[in-house]
This record gives sequence, C-alpha cells and structure tokens, in this order.
Amino acid sequence: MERLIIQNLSKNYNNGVKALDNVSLSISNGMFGLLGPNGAGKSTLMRTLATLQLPDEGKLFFDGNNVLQNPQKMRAQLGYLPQDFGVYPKISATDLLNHMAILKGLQHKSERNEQVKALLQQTNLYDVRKRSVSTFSGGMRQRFGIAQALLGNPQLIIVDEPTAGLDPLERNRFHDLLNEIGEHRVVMLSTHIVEDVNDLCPETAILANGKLILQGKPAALTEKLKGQVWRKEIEKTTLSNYQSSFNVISTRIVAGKIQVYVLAENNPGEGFQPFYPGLEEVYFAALFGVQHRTKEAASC
Amino acid sequence: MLKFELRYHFGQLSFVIAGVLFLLLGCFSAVQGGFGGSEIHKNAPYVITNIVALFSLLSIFAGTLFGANVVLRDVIYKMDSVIFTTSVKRFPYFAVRFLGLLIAVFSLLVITVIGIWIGTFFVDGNMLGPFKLIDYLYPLLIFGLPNVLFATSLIFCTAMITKNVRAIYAAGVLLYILYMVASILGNSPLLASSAKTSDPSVLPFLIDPFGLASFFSDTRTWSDLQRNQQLFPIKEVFLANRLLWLAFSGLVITISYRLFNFRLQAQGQTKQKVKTQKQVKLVAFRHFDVSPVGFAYNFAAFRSQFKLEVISLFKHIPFMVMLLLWIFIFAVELKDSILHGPYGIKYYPTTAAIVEEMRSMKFGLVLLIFYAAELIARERTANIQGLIYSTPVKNSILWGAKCLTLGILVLVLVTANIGIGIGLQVFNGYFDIELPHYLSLYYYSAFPLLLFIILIVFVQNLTANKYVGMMLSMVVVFLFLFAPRLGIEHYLLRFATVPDLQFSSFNNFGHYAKAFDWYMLYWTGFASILAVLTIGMWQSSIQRTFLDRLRSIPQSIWKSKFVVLIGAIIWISCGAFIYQQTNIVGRYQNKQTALQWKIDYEKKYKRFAELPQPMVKSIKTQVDLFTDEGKYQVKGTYQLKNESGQPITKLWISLHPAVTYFDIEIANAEKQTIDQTYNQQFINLKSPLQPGAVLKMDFSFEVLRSGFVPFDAENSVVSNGSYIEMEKFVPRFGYNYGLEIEDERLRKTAGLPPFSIAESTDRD
Repeated sequence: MERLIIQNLSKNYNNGVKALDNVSLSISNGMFGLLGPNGAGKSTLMRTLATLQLPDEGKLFFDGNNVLQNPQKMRAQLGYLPQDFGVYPKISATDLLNHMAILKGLQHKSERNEQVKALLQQTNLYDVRKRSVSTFSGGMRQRFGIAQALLGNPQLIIVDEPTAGLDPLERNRFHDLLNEIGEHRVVMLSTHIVEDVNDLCPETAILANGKLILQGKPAALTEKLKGQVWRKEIEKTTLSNYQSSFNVISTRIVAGKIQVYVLAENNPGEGFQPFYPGLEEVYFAALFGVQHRTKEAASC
Repeated sequence: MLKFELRYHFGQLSFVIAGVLFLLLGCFSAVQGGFGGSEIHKNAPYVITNIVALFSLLSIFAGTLFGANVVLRDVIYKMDSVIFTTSVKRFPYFAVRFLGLLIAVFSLLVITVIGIWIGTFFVDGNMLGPFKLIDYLYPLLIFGLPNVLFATSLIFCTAMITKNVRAIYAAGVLLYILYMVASILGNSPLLASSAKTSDPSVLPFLIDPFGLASFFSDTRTWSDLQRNQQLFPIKEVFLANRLLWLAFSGLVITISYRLFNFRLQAQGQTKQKVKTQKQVKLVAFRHFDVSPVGFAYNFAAFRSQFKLEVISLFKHIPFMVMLLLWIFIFAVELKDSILHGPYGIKYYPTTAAIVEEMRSMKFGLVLLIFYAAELIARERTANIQGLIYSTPVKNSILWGAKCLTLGILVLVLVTANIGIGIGLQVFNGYFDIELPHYLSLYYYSAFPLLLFIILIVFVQNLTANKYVGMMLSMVVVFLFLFAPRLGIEHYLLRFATVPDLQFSSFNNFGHYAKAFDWYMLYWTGFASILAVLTIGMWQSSIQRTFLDRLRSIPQSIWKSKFVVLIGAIIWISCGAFIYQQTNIVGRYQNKQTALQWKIDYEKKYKRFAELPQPMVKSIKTQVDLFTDEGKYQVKGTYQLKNESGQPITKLWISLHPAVTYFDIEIANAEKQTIDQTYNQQFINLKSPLQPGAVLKMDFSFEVLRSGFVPFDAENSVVSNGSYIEMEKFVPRFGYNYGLEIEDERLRKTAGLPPFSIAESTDRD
C-alpha cells in the first residue's frame, strides 16, 4: 500500500538553483533509498518532507493527509535526522533525549524513560548518557541523532546521510536497527553511498540536478542493465581516448591499472569483457545518461 | 588582505545599520543637543569634542558587535582549519584582523563627525561659528582614536583568547559597566548623582580610560568664548591619561598577540573518569504511541523547554558575572544617592527613599535586548532547529518558554534590587523594613519590563540575523524611551511608559497608581496582539523568508482570533478611556500645544488687559474633598469692591486651566459663554459697578486630579492628607501676565511684541 505520495514537487532557491524539478514518487512501507550526487536536491526533498520547508509547487500526502496544509499531523508521525545538526550546549544525552521525547508527545514518564534507555543502549551511548551531547564526537553525535529520530512511534522516518562519520561496526548496527523498525513504516534513506542502498532498500530512486532520473527495485534495475556494461583494463595514458570514443560511465583503479566501464549494447571492441552490473553501475549509468543528455542539449 | 577585511566589515549589514544610526545620531545631537548652553555655537569645538567623546563610549558596543560578528567568523564558519594551514603568516593575519576591526569601529566615529557637519546645515546661521576642519579632526584624534583603540584592543584580545562569542559580549558589557564603576568611584562629573566637591586627587582622572572625566571637569569652568573657540588642550593630567591608556592598549594588543596561537582551539573534551562498567540490563526497544495534543502535552512541552531555556540562561558564568556587577553598580548608586544627597545631606535609608530610587530599571532593558537575541536565536545558533521544529511542538510553546525565561530574568533583577535595598538598610542600622513596599516593585518596576519583553521578542523575531535584531530592538527601545525628544509625548504612544511614578512614605505610588493600572492594561492588550503576530511570524525554520512569514500573518490571526479580539478590545477601550481622561477631562497638552496655548492666550486676551476689574475684599469658601475620585468641589462667595476709579460694566473671570468645571452667579448680570480652552468668562453687569461700590459674587468649581493629569505637588487630593494652594484655583479677574512667554526668540517667531515686565502687581 502506498503511504507517502509526492506529486510534482518543485523548489527554486533565490540564487537560481533548481533544487527540485517536478519530482513525483509513491512510496510504501519499507526502506526507500534515495541516491544522488552532492547537490542533487536530496536534502531539499528531505527537509520538505520533514515540514521544515515549503515547496514552490506540488503536493505531499502521507496516509491521505495533505502534509503541506496540515503539517502538524505529519510532525506527530515523523522521525527526522538532518544531514547536519547541532544540539543545545551543556545538556546531557539523557536530558536532551527526554526533552525531544516530550516535544514529540510521549506523555507517560515510564514509557519515555524506557524508550530513552533502550535507544541509548541501541545506539551504544548508554555509557556516556550523562555527558553533554555538545562534547560528543561526530560519530557519537550522529548516533544521538539516530536515537532521537526513533523516539515515539514514527510512521515516516527520514534519515539524511545517516551513516556519514560512522565506523563500519556502528554502520552495521544502525542498518540492522533501521531494517528492524522499517518493516511497518516508511523509511526514507538519503545517501550517496550506493552500497547502503543496495544492502538495505527494496526500493530506490536516483536524483540528479533536482530531477528524478531513475526509480525501481535494485534487482530489477541491475537486471535491466545486464549485458550492457563492459569492462577493460587499460593504461592510464590512453584514458582520454576511451572517454572520447566510448560511453565510459566509470573508472576504477585496481593495482595501478585503470579499469574502464563502458555502456554499450554490444561488445564495444577488443579487450572488453562483459561485466555483471551491480547497483553502482546502474547509478553511474543513470548519471552518465543525465550528463550525456545535457551535453547534447548544450551542443545542439 | 586588509582590503578584503575592510570590505568584509563594510559589507556587513550590521555595519551599514550602525553607520546610518551614527550618522543620524551625530546629525541629531548637533542640531538638537543643548551642549554647553544656548550661546554656544552648534559647531563649536567644545560641542564637537563633547559629542565625539560621548560617542566614543558607544565604540564599546560597536566593537563588541563587529568583533563578535567578524573576528570569529573563521571559527563560526569552520574556516579556521583551512586558514590556519594556508601560507598566511601569523603576524599579518593578526594585524589585518585587528586593523580591520579598529578601522571599522573608528569609521563609525568619522561618520558621526560627518553627521555633525551635515547637521550644521540644518541650523540657523547665527548659531554657527566659522567652519574649521581642525575642530572636527582634533577630537577624533585625541578622544576618538585612543578610545576606540582601547575598546577594540580589549575586545579583540578576548576574542582571540577565548574564541567565544558570548565571552566577547560579556567583555563588552563588562567594559561598559567597569567604565560606569570607574566614573562612580572617580566621581565623574558625567554622572549627575556624583557631583560632589572637587577632589584634589588626580587618580580619578587617570583611571578613566576614556578621558571623559578630565574633559568634563576641566571644561566646566570654561566661558562661552572658550567653548566656542578653544580646543581641549592636551596637557598635564589629561596627557598622562591618554599616554597611560594608549600604553595599556598597546600592552593588551601585545599580550593577545603572544597568546594568540595560530592553531585550532583544542577540543573542549572534558575528561571522563573511567568508571567500572556496571552491567546494565538491556532494555528492548519498543514503540510507544505519541499524542502530541491537548493541554497536558502542551504544558509538558512548555515546562521542558522552559527548563532548558532557564538552564541555558542562568547556568552560565558570564551571566553570573553580569548579575554580580549589576548588584555592585546598583549598590554603589543607591548608597551614593541615599547617603550622599545634595549639599552633603545624609538621608535615612527609609524604604520609601530606596523604593523611589530603584523603581526605574531602564538599564535592565539592555540586558533584556541582549538575552532576547541570544534566546530567540538559540535554536539556530546551536543548529538544532531541524530537530526541534520537525516535532509537533507549537510555536507558541517556544515563544512562551522564551518570554517566560526573560520574565524570570526581570524578576531576578528586581529581587536583586530588593536585596540591595534591604542590605543597605541593615548595614546602616535601619530596621524598619517595609516589605510590602518592596514587594510592590514586582508590579511597578517589573511589569513594564515584562511588556517590553514581548515587544523586544517581536522585533528580534523580525529578522533572522541575531545582530541586526539586536540593533533593531535597540533602536525601537530607544525610540520609546526618548520619544519626548522626538516630539512624541503622549503616553498612549509610548510603549509601556508611564508618567514618572513617585514613591512617598505617605502615599506610596499614590498619584499615578491608578493611571498606571490603566496604562498597563492598555499596553497588555496591545502586547497580546504583538504576541500573536510574533508567534505567527515565528522563525520556525531557516527556509521561510520574511515575506513568507508576513504572508502567514492573516492565518495566524485567524487561528487565535479570540486572543486578538480580546486584546484589541482591551487595547482600544482602555485607549479610549485614557484618551477621554487625559485629553478631554484632563485637557492634555504636549510641549508644543502648551506653548501655542500661551501664545494664543496672549494674542486673544492681551487687548483687554486694561479693562478695569474689581478687587476681592473678602472670601468665604466651602471645600468638599472626594479623595477616592481624586477630585474636589469648591463653593464660595466673594465680596468685590471697585477700587479702579472707573465704573465697571464687564467682569472678566478667569480660572486656572486645571479647573475642570466652574459656574459663576451674580445677581442682575448677563453671562457670556465660557471660553473652555482658557477657562475665561466675561459677565456683563446690567448696572455698572460704580467706584467704591461693592458686589457679591457666588461661584462654584470642580477640579479633578486623577492620575491622568500631571502631578502637581501644590494641587493634590490624597486620602491621607490633601494639599491644595487654593488661591491659585479660585476665580480671579482680568488678564494674567504670568502666562506670557518670555523667550524672545519664540516671541519673535510667534509674531508677538518684545516682552516687557508688566506693571501690574497682579502677577504671581
């Protein structure tokens, strides 16, 4: 069942940047991965969903509620972890989490205490719970942000670059947690790490220059690209030749040599080997398509 | 690099606003300010030096503002790691930063001087001396530059060492307070309260870092000619003072350069004690339903937010320092004015005297502006707004928590004052502590400030920039405080301002107390509308532009239409009542209309001045006092006798303008209509009063002395002892020379003949 419906969302900033350009999405329960390079408009979309920003055009519905007209109802069901956030100085983790719990509407003290304690343990912050959050390191603060986003009973969880600054162990823990709670609710995960989406999200979309350029299940997307990606190991010096004559979607350095990945219907030439694409190739191919199209448009 | 630095400074909005402000103030104080008396040229060296010297005090604030805004920008924008690793050397970096700040602040003074110069174009030519460039440059060099150097070096030093915005503010405010302390201790002539017999010691003049003490005490004895022509000489004590503080500034700069390490600030990592890990039982994470509606939720959210705000405000060392200094200053001030009255009179520290001294807390407004800016911008400064504003908490809750916190600040200040008062009494062996009088300060002293909180928060919330907001609130507050200077005198137009309450042992806040209630109710109505607007325009997130927020006003008014409606009803109806009491019953006049009233009186009635009038030979009156309503009624009889030597056909009755209503009864006479504006009435006698003949006249009149008319110590009705100088209010005859204005210039512009001392003995 589709719970979050985004219709024709557009947003222009005063400096002329088109952050969102007619974005439409329908999202049902489970984790939804939003991919895109830096500056693609992910955070703008996230902030709009988190009722912190109004779009120029478009509509938002969550469980039938018009979010833009009635943001208060959305906020009651929202868990939001911004990409970049700070905290009040000199307030301990427990106190601040408690405060956030109160603001979110957890009215019973026992429930609040239980949840705060559980979240502190889940995010591995229990030992430092009495320390002021403002003295936390980046990773710890990020975990605190995760904890506060899960307070209450959020139906829509928006996490903007949640694993930035986390070490691999913490990242795994966080993924497990998200996976567990994401079953019966909508989790929007924005990231530029393709691997995260690949591991976690049954649904994904790619955003570039404010436009939605691809959407679907990771498996289906990779399936579609099957047989179209070719790999070849080349010398560094010849790279520019390849870039001008082939659709090079990405390059990778392996043991000093460069591997080029080329998008083509048929084998593009000697030395190319068929490559079984992953989500990463899908992502690069999609971005390549956008670049290509803009280039063509510019040359016309 | 310096160019970039300066361009950065001059491009700041706060600089632009401050520049405009200083220009206007300079212009304004040149035109309006009465420095040194009326015979002093408006562009006399004395006047310019005076203005520059006083304005150089303001460089503390400008320096604080720019220092906070600019010096720390690398840290704030997290550019420090980038810059500190570039090839920029330590010295140029330091020098450029400091020079940038110094020049920016100093240029404000230059702008002020330009303002003075512009101001001279608005002044009548005969009030100006010849233009001399040196008159303008000299004060800038001897007062402006050293003072700016002093202020900025201390602020810059603080900034470099602490790299903390709040510390800079605290340093700025501290500096100002310290200056005040120095002038109080040093008996600065600048503070009227401490004008005492001159102290032969040079110490006070030396320790005043701004050199104002020397200037004011030396020039006090200057003649007008000196003031018009002479520059303030640098010699003896003043020279020593300048050198001392220049050296001090140099020292501070050197120290801060030494201490300034071109490194990142060490992370403020508090060391955690290694505790033995206790095994805690793991709690499984469960979801609980939230219900962010209803009174219980709002109350809980309010309480929690309020708690955090209060902690942030009070658990803060600069605040404690500020509070201590507040107590110190007030104690010194109070001690000074109570125990050292004029001519060395020592008063008893009675509660009444103390309460009277400390009712007005205008200085508290500075603190309110500062902390309002801090509190409103707190979410943004901490960058937590994304978390807070995506929760269902209402804007009104946040607004309320912040306002209440500021309210607590006001109450703390009042409490501190009361503590000081009681302390002073106890130390001086005076134990008749009348607590209820002290407690009344929580209303008379605190309530106007509480209203000001709502206004300041409203203004602060208009802009997303904390510093611009501070400037704006400063301007607004000053506008209201100094409204009379700008020609706005009516209290209906002056936010939360009332006629100066006077406290006396006999009468408490007596005269104006009732009017105070009405004014407070009136402004509360207005404030409630302001509150709704503030909440509607609340800066819930960074992405809402000012226009967006303006556009949401109608909606928010509609949402809280009952509050707005009730507020508006209270506001308008109280306003109507006050207007009726003040303007219609009380015949309100501002300075301008009062002057015009006198001019018109002379124009209208002077021509009858020679009309013969009888003398009063005996008076009988019966006075009824209605103390609850603050009014009295007089019934009386005159025996009149014609001693003029001519027959009198027309009686000219005139009553004091304070008389609300009067009636005259004379047998066999025809009354003309009363001139209500001047309380004058002509009465035609049907048969003329012959020389030597007598006539009986009955009269009655009523005077209303409510709190809506200005207090008159000679005409007050009080329940425990009225004092009325009745001879001023009973009917009198003929023209009143006492109402004529004497100022020749004003008479000339009004088209009146030159003033001559009247021959009539009838003047008072």
